[in-house]
Amino acid sequence: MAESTNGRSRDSQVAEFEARIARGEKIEPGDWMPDDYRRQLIRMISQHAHSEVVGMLPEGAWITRAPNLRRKMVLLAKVQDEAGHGEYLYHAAETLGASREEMIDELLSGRAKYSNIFNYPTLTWADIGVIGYFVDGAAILNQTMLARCSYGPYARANLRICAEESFHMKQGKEMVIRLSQGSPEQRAMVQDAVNRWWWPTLMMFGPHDADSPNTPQLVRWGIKTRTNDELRQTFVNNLVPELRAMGLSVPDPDLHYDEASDNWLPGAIDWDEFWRVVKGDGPVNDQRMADRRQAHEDGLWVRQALRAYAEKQAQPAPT
Amino acid sequence: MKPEVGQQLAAFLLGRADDELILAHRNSEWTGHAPILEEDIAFTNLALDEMGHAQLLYGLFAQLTEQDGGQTPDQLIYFREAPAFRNVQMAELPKGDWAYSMLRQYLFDSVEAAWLPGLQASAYRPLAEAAAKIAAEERYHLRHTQAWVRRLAGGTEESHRRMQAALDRQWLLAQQWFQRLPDEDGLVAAGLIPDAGDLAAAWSQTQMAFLEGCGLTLPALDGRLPTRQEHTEHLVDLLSELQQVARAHPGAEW
Amino acid sequence: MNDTQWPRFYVFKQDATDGPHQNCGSIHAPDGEMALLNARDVFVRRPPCVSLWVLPADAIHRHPPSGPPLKDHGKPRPRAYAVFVKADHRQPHHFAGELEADTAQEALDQAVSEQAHSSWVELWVAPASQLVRSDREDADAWFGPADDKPYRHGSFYHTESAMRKLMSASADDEA
Repeated sequence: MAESTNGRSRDSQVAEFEARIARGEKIEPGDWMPDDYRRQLIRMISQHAHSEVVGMLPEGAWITRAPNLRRKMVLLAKVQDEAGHGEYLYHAAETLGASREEMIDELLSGRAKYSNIFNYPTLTWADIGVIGYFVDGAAILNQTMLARCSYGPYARANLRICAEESFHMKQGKEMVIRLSQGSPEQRAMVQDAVNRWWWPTLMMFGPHDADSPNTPQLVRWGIKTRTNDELRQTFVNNLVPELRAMGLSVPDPDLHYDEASDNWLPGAIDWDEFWRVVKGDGPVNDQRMADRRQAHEDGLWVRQALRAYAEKQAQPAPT
Repeated sequence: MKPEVGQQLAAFLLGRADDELILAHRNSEWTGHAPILEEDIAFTNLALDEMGHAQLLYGLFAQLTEQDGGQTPDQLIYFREAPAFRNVQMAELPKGDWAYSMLRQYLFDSVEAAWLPGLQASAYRPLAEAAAKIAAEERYHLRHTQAWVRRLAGGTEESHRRMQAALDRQWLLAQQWFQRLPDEDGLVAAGLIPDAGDLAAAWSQTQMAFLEGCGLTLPALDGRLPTRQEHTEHLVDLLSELQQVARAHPGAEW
Repeated sequence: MNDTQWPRFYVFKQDATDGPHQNCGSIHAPDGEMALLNARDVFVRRPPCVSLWVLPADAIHRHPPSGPPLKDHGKPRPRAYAVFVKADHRQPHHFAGELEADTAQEALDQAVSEQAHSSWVELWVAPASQLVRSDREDADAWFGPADDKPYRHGSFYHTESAMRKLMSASADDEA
């Protein structure tokens, strides 16, 4: 939609838009919205979608090695859900005018980002349990917040995702409980996984509030309703007592309980590592992208074949 | 049911259970690598259903062999060596390209469609019930895989070529699904399973009509069919991955 | 031939026989049959559902219009149009019946006047022939199996009771 050249009318459009959000109204696809709101949302939603799709890879790799049939089926169902979440999210971005071809092109060319957490490798079976417990647990906190966001299709996509995500976290938690109470080898396996996934999960919530310049505008536009640090603190408070009850240690010598605030306060996060991984220098960034590009290239003849078939069917029969 | 008939039925079911499991395992290898996101969901759904079918059939095997200290489904899946598996050879072959996997799944779905009505009429009630459950899901599978075979065969020159190559490699091996086990006559006589010979004739006719209707050429059926006892090194590779974690911690609970 | 992610189809789901079909999102597919099959796997992994429809996105004409008007397919002639209504911002579009018209614009105008009695924020019309519907008799085979996978629900995992036991055991240890 063309921007109004009358500055005053534009300002009043923005004011009315922000008032609608402050009243708790949902912005729907046909409504007027500032270009910046549309752009930021397309970026956020498509990155969220890409994260679900790339996230299939670290867990999908262990379906073939799941140690019993029940775990095999549960993991397959979980990964399938993640692909489904990608669908819901690409749809939400499409309602804003983005095309799936463009979004996928941005992912595969490295221009679009996805959640950093998937740039870490899954090295043992216990990683699968810890990912469900930690990473899906963190995602649930974030998505519960986003289910209240101002843009209707994105809020609804997150609602549907939250309903499905509950089993994702629980199946992981069930595994971690089982392993922590199992054989010495299983206990060692899960402790090692905890040691590797704890800090990357804390980083999933994003930089500290003081270092997040976007946050105030995202709050005003009803996209963020809780800050990065608030969500991160909730996560830490939820997990630490449970890990301790399981006899697992948190790899943070500075972690301590602060009675005054009733919070478990973590030590300092290594933000150098965070930025290194975001910029593409993580343990398996290259592998993830190579896998996605390969799948896309290998699938080209398939996508083209089905279009060709559909076009042949659509041609009117010769008279 | 006489004990030896129970054993024979168990042997029949073990083969079917192994088919479902091994094929589902191969199909699950596509997770995250399918040609488009919609198929990441659809093909994994097929695999998930087939694993559920395997679970049902291994459960029946366990019931029938309880007296002989039968093994649980997980023991059968994770602690047997390759020579003890009883799947058809085609199921264990590598997943190949999308045409190969899709044709293999289609042929399996069409074979199930041939067998399931007779199995739903089995005199052994638990088998009849399991077959009814499986049949409900298989109706959807067949529609899905048939739609794909038709479209790949009739899509582009490349997709047709790949589908033909897959058929060239799979048509003979698919006959293995109608191969009689040594004691099958007894099972048929007892009304426990339908007759493979009758099914094979009808199935072949249907498949010939469908596949040729898609513009594909059926290769000649020369060559010896392996038996369910005969496996390839591909099964060894498959099992070493499938069983890796379980075998590293024997007796552990997951 | 260039590469695409296939055309987009909107998906409508009917949860119970006495309820309307409602828009639940969209998927990409090369044609109507594949769209219906894929929609089932994307949107009906969990119950309930009794019927599924898919509709090509480019068959939809909207009121209020959002962009240049779509071209009609073919010459004006009387045909059935399916009507979908979005009652308010919080609700998805739901199926509101069919009407007959000669062109899409006529169908839209008719729908607007037919829906004048109720409040709504957006109307869609699309040629009914473009709607691909699941067969009622397939409902069991297509949607029943979703019932049979309890491990897709959080309640299948007894993490809360297991955790409570561990917490109270460790509280005892610390006492």
